[in-house]
Amino acid sequence: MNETLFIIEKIFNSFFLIFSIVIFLTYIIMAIISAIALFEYIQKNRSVDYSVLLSSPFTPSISVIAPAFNEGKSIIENTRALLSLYYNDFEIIIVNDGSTDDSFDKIVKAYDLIKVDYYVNMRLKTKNIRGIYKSTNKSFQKLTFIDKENGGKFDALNAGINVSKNDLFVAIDVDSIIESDALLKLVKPFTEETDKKIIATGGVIRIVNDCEIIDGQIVKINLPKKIWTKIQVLEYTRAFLMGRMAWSKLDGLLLISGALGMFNREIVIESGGYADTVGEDMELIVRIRRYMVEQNQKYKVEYIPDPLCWTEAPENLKILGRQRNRWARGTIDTLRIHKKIFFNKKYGKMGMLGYPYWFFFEWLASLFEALGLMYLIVLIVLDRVNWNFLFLMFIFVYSFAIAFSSWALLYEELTFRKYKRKTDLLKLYLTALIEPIIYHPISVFFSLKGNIDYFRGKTGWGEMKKTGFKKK
Amino acid sequence: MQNKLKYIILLLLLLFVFSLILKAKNNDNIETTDSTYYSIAIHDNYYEIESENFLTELANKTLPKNKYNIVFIFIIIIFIITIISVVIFIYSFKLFIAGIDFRKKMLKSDYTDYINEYLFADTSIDEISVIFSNVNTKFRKNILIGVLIELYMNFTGDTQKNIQILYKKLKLDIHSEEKLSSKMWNIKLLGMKELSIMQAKRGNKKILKILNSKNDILRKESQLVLVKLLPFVPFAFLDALEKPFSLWEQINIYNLIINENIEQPEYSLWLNSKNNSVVIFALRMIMDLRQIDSINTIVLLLKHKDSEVRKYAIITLGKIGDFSTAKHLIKMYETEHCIFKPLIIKSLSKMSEPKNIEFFVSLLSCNHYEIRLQSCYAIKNIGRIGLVKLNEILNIENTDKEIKKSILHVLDKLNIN
Amino acid sequence: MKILICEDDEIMLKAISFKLNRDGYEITSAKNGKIASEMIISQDFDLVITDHLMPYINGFELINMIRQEFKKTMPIIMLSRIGQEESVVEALKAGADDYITKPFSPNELSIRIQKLIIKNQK
Repeated sequence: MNETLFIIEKIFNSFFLIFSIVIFLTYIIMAIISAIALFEYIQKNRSVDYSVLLSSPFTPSISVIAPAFNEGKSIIENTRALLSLYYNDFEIIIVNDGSTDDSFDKIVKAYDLIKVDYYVNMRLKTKNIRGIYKSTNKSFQKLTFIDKENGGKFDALNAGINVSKNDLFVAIDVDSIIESDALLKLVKPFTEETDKKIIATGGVIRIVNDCEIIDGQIVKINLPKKIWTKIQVLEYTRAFLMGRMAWSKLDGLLLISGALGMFNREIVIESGGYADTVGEDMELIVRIRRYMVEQNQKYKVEYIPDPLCWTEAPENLKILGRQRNRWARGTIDTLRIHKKIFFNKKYGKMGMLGYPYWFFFEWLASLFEALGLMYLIVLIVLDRVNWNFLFLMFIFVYSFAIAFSSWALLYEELTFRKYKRKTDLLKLYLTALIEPIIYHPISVFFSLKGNIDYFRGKTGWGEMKKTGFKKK
Repeated sequence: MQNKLKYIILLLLLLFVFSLILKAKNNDNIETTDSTYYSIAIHDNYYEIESENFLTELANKTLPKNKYNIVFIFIIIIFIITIISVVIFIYSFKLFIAGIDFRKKMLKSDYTDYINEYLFADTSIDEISVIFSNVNTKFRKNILIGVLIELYMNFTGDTQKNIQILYKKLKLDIHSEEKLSSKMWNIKLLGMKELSIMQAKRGNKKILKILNSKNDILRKESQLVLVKLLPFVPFAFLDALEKPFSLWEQINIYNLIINENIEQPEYSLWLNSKNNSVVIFALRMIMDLRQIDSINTIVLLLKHKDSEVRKYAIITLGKIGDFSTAKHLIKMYETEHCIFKPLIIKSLSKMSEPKNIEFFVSLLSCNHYEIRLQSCYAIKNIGRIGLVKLNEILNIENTDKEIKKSILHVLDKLNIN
Repeated sequence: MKILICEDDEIMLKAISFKLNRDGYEITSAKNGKIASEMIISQDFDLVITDHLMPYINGFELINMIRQEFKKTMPIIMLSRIGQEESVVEALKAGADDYITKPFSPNELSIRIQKLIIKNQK
């Protein structure tokens, strides 16, 4: 009896040890790869003159699609900001996804919109479109407004794609703030395409909380004041400057955030458009990649590390929990829908690297971590813990986490330097010190809860309450 | 929920710390004999390697017998050193950059003021050269070049010429040329850009060498620069181009040609190029400049092997909108069972004549959204007759609903095709 | 004669201001459309020069605001770039009186300003 227990214990111990070592090694490798990729990107693009795109008739036309649901507080300012993006030939499509607030009346009044006889090409199935509106004012010629019945974000995006006329479209969140030159930077990889078809480009998302905003544009970048948002700043820096940068270098990028991404419209439509899932942004990338492989076409998904989009992050644990819960569910759903890719040689790096990484480290890791904690508790109860060793391991993991975060901060400092104040970095360091102890267990808890919810069959977004950008 | 969580975490942490303390005390009692053994061993060793011994002791004494413990401890120390050095580095870097940015801003502002005095007031070039004689470091020279380029690109005429004279008078062209010999490819690139913008030909020999560089970006940039600096054969590179000519490069070339007022050749010369991307570039230029004489050659391209070329040929014919080409497009439409049918109709809609009205009307019953819509536009573009026809169809009661929708879409003035 | 220049490039802003100041105008400069619109509300200008692409509020919207919201009639000159001819047409429709394409000759700008001011005084 005792012997079997001992063997089980041994197996568990080595399993957790090996899993953690693999994770650490992966992270270190990703840090190195992303450093190379970032350096290459900066060197290549430092002296690029993006304004040539503005004055050439060859520049591709694009459609900007912004789904909006109950964004009445900020819809007018944000539409105005979209209208003054730097680009020559583009249309802006705001999709009102059956809002229950006053956003419809507000926007119709502010932009002199009237209903037009618009014949929609329903290539993607969507909920009923109640009407399409255009402005009678010549200055807002670029604007198209779709009023439709509520069907969720994916449905709104699909409606926007149906109405859009150009070969490329940009999907954005209407409540995030887009840098003026974002479209130029996103379109550049498409213009550079030669033998490999560019199917999508995505940019970095930054956190806008506590930044000074006037008329939908950032005037001054500040570090968020609240602790939970500061932690998310760290998280985003690591995820975007290290994680995704490395993945794009490895050609295994599986996610372009819903807040900003540019896509080849025809390919998105051919592969079926956005799907009804909580993680529609990730699902779309996996699907269009899969589609290209199945069509035997060479393709590429590009990633731009410049901060192009600023979005509001949840400020308290309740909403953060919902968001993380949703992300966890979205990940599982996407992985489930496309399980065929898993270690499937046919799908190249996506099948052999990208998908397994998401499977093991983005999904299973949090489950294993929870399992490990439970195992630890069992060991404590059975009094089979060597406390000194545990302490050593704890310090090991802790110092690794901080070293990793500080490495990410270094990348940020060497590349984009968005936080100008000297105390900002110190604050981020302090945040990095407490993050592994306080925040990490909570985030594991959230994703665990997401898993439970998912397998119980819960869908939907969960309410995201927005404060709206404060006017100054 | 948030509050509860906080308490649970706090409780767990407290429990953890508490049990640590308890355990540590217990361990002390049990392991006394062991530790005395180790401590004796330490006394036998030398002092110089004390720190290492301390670690060995730590690993062996307090932890379970495992040879990897010491490795863990070392890695931890490496992590901690990393953390501290990164903090120090980031801060010193930040201060350094802030200093440079401040100086840049000040110098830029000062230089702009002086140059304005020279360009728009009575300060002569000799006076201004004296003022700028303190521009002797690379840093300052680069900033001055930056200001000059900015102004040069935004002005024309005498002002532009004066800026160029100043650039040469201050020997900044030599500075730019020196960059061409740099080992860093991006500095070479910068040097080329400066020389080409300021129209300084002194680096030409070096740039010709870069033309064969292994670096893609450098090679392309050198092509661009030479188009500008060797005006007698500006477009020769189009003949020699073997690799695909990406849209990005085409955009850059376009900008260069327009901004520099380089004399435009007849682009139909390249419509027979073996490089399909060159053909497409030629088509785009023809479209932009409306070089109508080349329509006959373009019509031949409708039968080109490459589908992209065919596509651009169709678009170009549409943009030029010459009525004589309509019959070729209609013929292509009828023979080709291809993806370009909607595109053909779109192009045809820009050269629609009353005699073709029945052709377009017949297309309305086609089951393709884009073809139907573009046919409506084609009928509308015919003029008054077309509008009458559209209204006529709209008023027939048993007209297909989809056709009616298309017509209404086309008739709404706010919808732009 | 008071002129407002709205341009986001600081070097250009300085250069144009200096040149027009030498021509004897009283110059106010604004770095972006937002600042410009606030200045136009609080002060009276005899002429406005505005760039096309600017952060916060672009040239079009500024023109639109001046004409529609503030109901002011002073002449407006739009600065644009080569290749943006379509936007020039739109600017003229929105209420600009003249435009000038970068790169331009500073003297040409002076002459156009003079003409517009004289025309406006009649």
